[in-house]
Amino acid sequence: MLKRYERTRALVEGDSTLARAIVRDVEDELGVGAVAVLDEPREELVMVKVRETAHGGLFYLGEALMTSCRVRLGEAVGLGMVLGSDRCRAYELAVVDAAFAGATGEHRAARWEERLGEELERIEAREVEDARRNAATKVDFSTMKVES
Amino acid sequence: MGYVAVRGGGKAIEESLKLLEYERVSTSSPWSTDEIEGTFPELVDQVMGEASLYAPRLAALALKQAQGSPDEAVFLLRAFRSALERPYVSRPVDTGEMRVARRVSAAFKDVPGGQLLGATRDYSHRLLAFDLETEGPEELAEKRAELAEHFDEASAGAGASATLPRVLDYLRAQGLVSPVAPDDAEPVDATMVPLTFPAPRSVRLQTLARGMTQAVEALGYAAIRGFGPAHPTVGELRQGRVAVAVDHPLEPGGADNAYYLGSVPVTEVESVFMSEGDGAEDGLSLAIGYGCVLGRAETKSIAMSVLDRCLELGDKRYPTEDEEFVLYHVDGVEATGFISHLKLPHYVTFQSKLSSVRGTHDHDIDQEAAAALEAKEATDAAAL
Repeated sequence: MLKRYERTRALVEGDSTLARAIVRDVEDELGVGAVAVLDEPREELVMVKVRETAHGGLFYLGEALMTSCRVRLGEAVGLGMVLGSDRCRAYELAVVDAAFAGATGEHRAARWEERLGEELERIEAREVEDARRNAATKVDFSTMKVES
Repeated sequence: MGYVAVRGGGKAIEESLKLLEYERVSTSSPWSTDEIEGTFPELVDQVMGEASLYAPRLAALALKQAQGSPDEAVFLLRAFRSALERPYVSRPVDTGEMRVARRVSAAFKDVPGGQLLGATRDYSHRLLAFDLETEGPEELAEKRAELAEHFDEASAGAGASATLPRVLDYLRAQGLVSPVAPDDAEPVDATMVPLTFPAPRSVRLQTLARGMTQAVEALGYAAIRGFGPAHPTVGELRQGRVAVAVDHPLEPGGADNAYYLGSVPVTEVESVFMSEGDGAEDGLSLAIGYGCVLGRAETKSIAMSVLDRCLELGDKRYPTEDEEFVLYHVDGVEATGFISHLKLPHYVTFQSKLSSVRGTHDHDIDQEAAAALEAKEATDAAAL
């Protein structure tokens, strides 16, 4: 089963309609009123902590604008977080987080496992494509001959 | 001496702001923030780096509002971020996992993964491209399609990995650079506590990373020119995107259970310096200076790595090794704020200066008059 990191990566970096499709699926199953919004989507900051490589210590590189949302679905509380100001995406991520949580969410997680996996593959393919374009700029050194 | 409040400028200030807006709407095109972000990505990166806030759309908006002034745009973004809550801190970013867009080493020719130039102007001719003056949307689309096709052919069959091993791991494996043990001590946040000296290393790095680009570059340059340690070698410069992830606020769990929020662009530099060991038998060794900034900012990142090394050495005979000198003066908002305040009314303080100068003049005049009187008395006495 996909863990939260991979799942949220698929939903944040992948097709933006996927999270919406999962939310609609949850609403079809439990009804539109099943989702209670605990914290409306709001802009906040996340401090980006980096491990520097000269001494191995940690330091704060800077902040990033993010949007978060918190919802309740039955007994489960879901948190949605995304960089930027996309309030809809934050809400959808929160609903997915709650819908896939715990034992009650396992069947939903299983139902969307394949689709999320495909999205991760598409992201991977996109990254490989970018890397391949960069690979064209790889230096091919040759040593000049010394004239005698 | 205290400050004296004066009134009377309110109307003038209102009209001045209207005139500023009139000038903006009279001269600017109705560019969207998307257009600014797309046309000036490196300027947007610079503003985000100095504002210490990753928010490309807002940085573009700040630039539009500031009519292209990076200083003002940074000020606007810093003011904006101060109004937001910051409930989250990311998991430590491992730049070894960076999705690399460019990676070069000036130290080794044949580095694992190769020298990847990426998109760079390093080897370009600095000639004005006059054709850009008339470049329209159709021409832009045409060039885009042509280059996409070119890269489809150029990169066909090329093996490629988005992540690359670190160049300096080679030196670490050979024992020429001391291996680094992770130190998980929580960093100090320079935005939450005033600068104190000696500053913790985390504060130094954060302050340099958010420093004014040209200030960091100028001080780094000065350090190399003789006001600091010797010439460094860029062991590795890598630029690309790193993932930002946040742990669940309540649930335990490692990286797998964290939330992925997106990625931010960073430029990271490891510079190599010759270093003398502590003891006589230690001989020479290599030391690393570290630079890492938000966005694409290679020169700043290299300069930061130089200043990092300078501050580690801390020989205050050199200004670039004096952390008070470096850290207090690289912040853009502090520097522009203080210098700009000089043009604001200082009528009372200046009157005080004038009064002191006049006092000195009056004293001089009194002395001249006394000398003249004395001379006259002497002349009169001689005549008698």
